[in-house]
Amino acid sequence: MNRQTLMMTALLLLGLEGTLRLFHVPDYLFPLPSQTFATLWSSRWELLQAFQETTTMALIGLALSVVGGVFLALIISLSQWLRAGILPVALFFQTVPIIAVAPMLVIWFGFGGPTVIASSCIVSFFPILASSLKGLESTPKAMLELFKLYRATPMETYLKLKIPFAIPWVLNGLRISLGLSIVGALVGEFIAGGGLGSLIDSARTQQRVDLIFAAVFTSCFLGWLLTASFDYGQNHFFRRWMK
Amino acid sequence: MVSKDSKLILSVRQGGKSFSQNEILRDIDIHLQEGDFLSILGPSGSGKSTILRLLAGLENWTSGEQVENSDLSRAFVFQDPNLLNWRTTLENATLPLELQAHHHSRSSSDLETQGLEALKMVQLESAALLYPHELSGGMKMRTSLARAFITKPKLLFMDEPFAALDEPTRETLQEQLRDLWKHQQATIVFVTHSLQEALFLSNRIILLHGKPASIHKELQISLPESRKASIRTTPAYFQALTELRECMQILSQKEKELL
Repeated sequence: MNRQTLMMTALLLLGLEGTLRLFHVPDYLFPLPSQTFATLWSSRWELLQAFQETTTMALIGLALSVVGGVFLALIISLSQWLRAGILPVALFFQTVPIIAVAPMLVIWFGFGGPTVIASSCIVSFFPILASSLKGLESTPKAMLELFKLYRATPMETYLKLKIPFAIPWVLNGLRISLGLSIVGALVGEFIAGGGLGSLIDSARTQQRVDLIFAAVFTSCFLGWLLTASFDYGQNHFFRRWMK
Repeated sequence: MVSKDSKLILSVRQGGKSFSQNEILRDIDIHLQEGDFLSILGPSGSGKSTILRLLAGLENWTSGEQVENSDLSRAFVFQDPNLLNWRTTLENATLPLELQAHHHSRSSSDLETQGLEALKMVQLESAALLYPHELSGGMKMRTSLARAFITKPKLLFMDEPFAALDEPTRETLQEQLRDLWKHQQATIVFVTHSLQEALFLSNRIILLHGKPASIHKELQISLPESRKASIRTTPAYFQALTELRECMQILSQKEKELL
């Protein structure tokens, strides 16, 4: 985060604080930013524990999405027949809203971690599948012809050309899925308990709007942290792919 | 390079090519002898690259027949260098050897030695550990040449490889290519739309004309075997260039009449 972003954020918060005070907006409707920061501090251990739980669940869900999405993309890319058979089904599941499926997940997996992981995985799965497939199918014709001329086996073409060529696409899908995995985990936690989702839900029942805001702020921080870590890792380990 | 004893290595008779209902090529006769350097010249869209792809076996003729010695090692250089971004210059150059590893076993040090030799041939050994995004256009094309020559191909197909380069780089690479051709005793089929390039490089030039395109004329180039940049200022070169230009002018006039 650069200096300009910090200054703009500070200005926005100060403006919000001033406006809320000026119009005497009650804190059960919209708490003052200063009050939210006070709650962030006073409930820090509770928030930290919820933060850790949500992070763990989101990352496990995301990891399963990466493994499953890339594997399925590899299988689909093997033949047009498989593509025609599997892709429409995958597209159909993408259109199912997670909030509608979440209660079913509780019936199947019970309360707690497994449901949250499943919810996170379902939401983050499709961008990785779609991007990986796009990457595998985008290998330039000339490069494929080059491999054909050198009599490369299909396995060599995959390992030395198609898969390395698809890496930037997989990374793009992963970046989109990072944010979605947090959304999926939060939705799962609303239903199955645990983490920031559950904390937000219980604060709602207690009319603790300041705690809701503190938990939302923590969720945003989690999203920013994962994206920033991802960008750092991408620039550090996959630099030559991104040029 | 082509002598009386040179063997015929590839021959096409009455070759034709159509895409759907669109006839692109008609009555193509090409006979390649060992050590040939044949250039195919013609205006844009005349089917030069299609002929090259057909000769290389990347596409099939619609009519006619192609007879060739299938044991010949071959390589193809595209207009775009097509380097793999995630591999160093050295790793890009050794790619064909890696892909042939299931036919001939090679150790990694062996690969490295041969890769460095290939890069040395194109004066790029100092850039061995650089990645493609760190190379200039000319260096990328030299890497592509090193990759093509590393297998010591007997038959090399080149599709306007220097078209995107600036004039000085292009002339340097033309000289290097001519040296590599002599050194490796390869047979090269080269597609270009530059008269000067075709004249400097080739021993034979085929001129394409018409729609569908057919071979209008085949010219033997009688310039000395050893060609350096200075040849471009000799009267013999000027005379050959003028003849070639006149042929092209006649062709373009004929095409205008047809329109």
